[in-house]
Amino acid sequence: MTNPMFPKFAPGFVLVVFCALATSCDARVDDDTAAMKDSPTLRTPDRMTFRPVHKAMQVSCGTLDCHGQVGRNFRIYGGRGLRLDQKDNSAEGVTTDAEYEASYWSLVGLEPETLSQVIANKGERLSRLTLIRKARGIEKHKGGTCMQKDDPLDLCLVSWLLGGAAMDQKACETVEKAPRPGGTTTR
Amino acid sequence: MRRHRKHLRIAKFEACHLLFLLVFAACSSPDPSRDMVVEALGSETPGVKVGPLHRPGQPCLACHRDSSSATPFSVAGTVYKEQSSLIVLPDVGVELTDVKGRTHKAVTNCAGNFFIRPSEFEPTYPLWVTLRLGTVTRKMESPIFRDGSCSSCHKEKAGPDSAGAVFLIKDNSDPVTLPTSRCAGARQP
Repeated sequence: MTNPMFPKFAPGFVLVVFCALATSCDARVDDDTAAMKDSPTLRTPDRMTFRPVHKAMQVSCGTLDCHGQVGRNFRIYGGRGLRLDQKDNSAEGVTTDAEYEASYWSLVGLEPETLSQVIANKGERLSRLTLIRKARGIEKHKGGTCMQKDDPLDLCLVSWLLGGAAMDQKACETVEKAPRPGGTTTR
Repeated sequence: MRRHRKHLRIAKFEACHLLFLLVFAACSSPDPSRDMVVEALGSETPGVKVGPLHRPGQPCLACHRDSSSATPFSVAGTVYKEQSSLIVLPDVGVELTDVKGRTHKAVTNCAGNFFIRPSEFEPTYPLWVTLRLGTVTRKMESPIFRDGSCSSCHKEKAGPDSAGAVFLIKDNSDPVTLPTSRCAGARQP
């Protein structure tokens, strides 16, 4: 007699369903790991041109109430945000070289394999990156939608991620020097 | 018959399990990390009643939020005379401008506190802040992106994760006569 609360399925059917679920959950990881076998060296965005990107992100994402916090796995350090050196404070001084470096590795280390693949594929399926999905508001982000496709912050970040030295520095400067409402530049 | 009893036992066990989970969910706080922040604030200062003058310099929205017994605020904080002295400053105009260009002005009370209810102004972030008193104007360098409690980022002491207290003048560099506060809850020199 079969209990209606616990319907009995054929073991073969259960196995097929389980395998289908496991395969679909693991597809993205498989993509990245397979690609890693072909090219075991991770590709990273250009460190030398990161500074203007950092400046744009510092004012857009790195304030103390957002990613300028140790509670975030993506941390942005900076002169007017979270300081790397415990002797420094957020009210004084400029962003140090060590803070640029730490912010760079914080960004690059978020999803290194996926980032490497996105770079290798010249930006194909860019929204595989959580960084992009959250910033564009595609995925739930506590800080809301921070950039729209092709706005200055988006151009700055994406051109750097994919283009390295060919990044859109002007877009980064536009973000960094955006005027405060009322007309006075304060950033 | 025996199998039927067994299924009944399983069903009862599942029902009890579900009831336990429901009771546990109802009793536990929806945000334990927020509760820890509130607990760390400690008790009220003796002689200061719960109200507009209490707890200057503390993160107001830790308690003054939705789903709390305290009146919800959208933005609130405390303004000091200088960053180093921690003397609170009354009558300071706190002007807020949000990303949509909407503005709202609040004024600090004698404990240096200001607070804005959501019914008065609910900003769309980012939010820019300007302080004004007489001829002195101080603009906050970076906008606020999310947190309506000033002291979440402006703890009284500047440090690696704090810009220090919200202040109006840079250590007596601005020649201005400032009002002094004599109310309970205010910090005096």
